[in-house]
Amino acid sequence: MKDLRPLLKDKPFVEIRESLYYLGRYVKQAASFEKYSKDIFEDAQNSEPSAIVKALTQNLIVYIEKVENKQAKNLTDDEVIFWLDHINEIEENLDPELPDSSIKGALDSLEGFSEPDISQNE
Amino acid sequence: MSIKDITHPILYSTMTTLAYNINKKYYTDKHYMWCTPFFGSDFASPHFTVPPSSSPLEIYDTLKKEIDGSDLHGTKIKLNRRGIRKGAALMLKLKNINQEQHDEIVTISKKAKDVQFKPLLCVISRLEAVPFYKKVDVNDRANPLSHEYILSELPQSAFDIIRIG
Repeated sequence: MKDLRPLLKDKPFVEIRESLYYLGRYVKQAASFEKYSKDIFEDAQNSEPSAIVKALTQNLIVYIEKVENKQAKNLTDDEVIFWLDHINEIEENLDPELPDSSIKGALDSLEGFSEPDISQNE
Repeated sequence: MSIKDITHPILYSTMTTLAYNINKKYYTDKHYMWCTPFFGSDFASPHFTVPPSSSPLEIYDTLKKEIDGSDLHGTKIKLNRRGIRKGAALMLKLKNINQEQHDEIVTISKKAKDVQFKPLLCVISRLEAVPFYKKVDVNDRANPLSHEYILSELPQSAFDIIRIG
């Protein structure tokens, strides 16, 4: 069974979230990362992932390539979609149940969000 | 190549309306964005040095298609939702937001409807962008062939937003 969860067991929540973000980015664009010599962990100075996050992400990539028996850049569209859905399912359920106050605050914010005024630029 | 050394006067970036609003409300109107001097999608040209997935026009169109429902296996909006949560975790770690604000942003990323990821095209003067380009200079890093730059804490005053299509 293809499942990343055993590799994430007992890891800190924040490291899992960050690793899954970089993993998703890599799975989606593996061919481009090679063709354009891009660093999968490239980020702004204050957002650079730690060595622990990089190592965890690399472990996850190795697992996927082993279980698929091919490099990530050679994954088919269906395989890419499978892994992205799997990553999403794990990541989306990482958070503990949030208090009602957070949910209310979020819904109030969403209600108040609007499109920027771009009338002067049209 | 550093952003200081490129000759193009304008940089382009596509962000979502949701990210724009979150930056405005929770991050003191400071914006984080990937940008490039190439707007279009002339992938066959040897002078077009960004991958298709990094072209602002491609990203704009992809988001639009996912919102319209014409992309049945949409992955871009999901990636954006995860990016918002990763950003909130970082901001909490940096103490730029508190736990309550973090939890609100996480909830927003989950509750927002796809339509709230409507794309916005940002047009940035390269000269204005230079102080906000904070790339880590690591000597042993691969020399990227792609001209993509990350700007962080960019104030709204440094860029215009336009709508296309």
